Amino acid sequence: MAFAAMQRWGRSYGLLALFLALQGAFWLETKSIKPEIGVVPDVPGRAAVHALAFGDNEFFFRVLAFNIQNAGDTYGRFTSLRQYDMRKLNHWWTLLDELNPRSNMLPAMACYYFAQTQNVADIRYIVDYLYDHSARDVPKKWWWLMQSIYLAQHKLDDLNLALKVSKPMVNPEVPAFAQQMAAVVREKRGEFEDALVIMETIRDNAKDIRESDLKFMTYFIEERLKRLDEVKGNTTK
Amino acid sequence: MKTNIHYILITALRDWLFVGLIAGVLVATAISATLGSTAFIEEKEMTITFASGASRIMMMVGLIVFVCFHIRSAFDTKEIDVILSRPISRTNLVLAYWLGFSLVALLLVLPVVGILAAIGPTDWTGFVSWSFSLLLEAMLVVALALFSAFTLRSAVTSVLACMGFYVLSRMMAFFVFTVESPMFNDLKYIALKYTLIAISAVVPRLDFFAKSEWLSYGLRSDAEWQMVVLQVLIFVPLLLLATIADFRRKQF
Repeated sequence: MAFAAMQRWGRSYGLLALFLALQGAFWLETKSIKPEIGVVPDVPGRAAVHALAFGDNEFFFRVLAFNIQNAGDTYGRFTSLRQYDMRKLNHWWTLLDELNPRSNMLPAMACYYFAQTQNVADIRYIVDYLYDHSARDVPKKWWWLMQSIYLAQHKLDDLNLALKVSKPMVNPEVPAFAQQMAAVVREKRGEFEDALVIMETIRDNAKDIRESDLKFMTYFIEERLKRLDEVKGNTTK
Repeated sequence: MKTNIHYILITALRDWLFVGLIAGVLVATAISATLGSTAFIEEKEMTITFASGASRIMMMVGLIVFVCFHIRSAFDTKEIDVILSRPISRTNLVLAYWLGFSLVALLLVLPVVGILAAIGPTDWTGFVSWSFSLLLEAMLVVALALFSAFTLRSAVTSVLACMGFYVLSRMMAFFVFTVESPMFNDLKYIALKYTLIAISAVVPRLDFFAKSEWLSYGLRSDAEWQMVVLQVLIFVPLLLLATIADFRRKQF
């Protein structure tokens, strides 16, 4: 009687039980296989990005920028900034600038977040990106040049790089106080005459100049002229 | 014609098109707002871009599915035969269908525009242009879906064909961009180059329409909306005339 009942059950549910057991075995063997999640995703090609934008670059830009913002911090992970591949990030930012060069999201992310990396040498990639991003439209993007001067001068301690990124700042469309950074960098390098010339150029070409800026520039010019006269005097003696 | 348009609106209500799509747009906006609020900076731009992009995709897919299934079901249930037994020409019937579905598109665009206005675009001129451009894109998609549904025999095939054509039209900028690559001057690829050029000549440039960047930065120049209007003025009549030509040849 009991055997017949078991036979009936086996006929009805035997196959189901067998496949359930097989699924259990499959799970047991595969449960340790985890997806490989990197920190910074691989950078796609330019053509692929333009194709996948489906004609709406802005939409795809926001999607990818959001992914980059959260890279390394997904699935409950938190990744230390020193583990980020800044070279790869530089490629990402440069690529995304093709989709939207006007947004400030990427320079802000690079400058205020990724620049806090413990690998100071990696900041060079950030400075390079900020320079490339801003040099195209200095009147609107000068703020990021200011930031890159700070990073080059104080974090990387590289005055040559600071000089390179400060050059585009001398532009009548840029506020006078920001333009003055170009003179300050030269002064730090000991190039007093160049600093003086830049300051005079800013004073002569500035479109709208505040009194405080004008006073500082006059003081700066007078000081440098005085110092140059002293140097010349010492040389004559 | 009026009766047909009225009938289309009733079927849209019956099929829960308005309720379904508006609910979808609201859910997409809620998700966009959540994602946008986590953005490092430019939260509003992020939210409005996600919301507008998601709404546009949902609207176009919804319209394509609705138009194709509506027309194919009208053929299968002999509804078209009944309509044609009345004093209405085939040309008028196609035009009535296009007007009716365009009205449905307008009724779908309005809540989307309202929701985006509530989020608050950063450039209002760009927002107005985006809204009109969305309506024009929807009208073009309706004409495309009508053509597809009238010429192909199955609803599923017409939906798939229409979606394929829509995606191709959205990717047209990429093809135009790719064709100019020096690689295509190689003899091996020259045939592909001219194939792509030929395709681009008969496919509309939907990448000109409803650009999300308009909502944040406005239009770069007037030429942007002029091209949208011109493309609609050329391609919608082209599709409608092709549909009418095919419909006239059909035997019942």
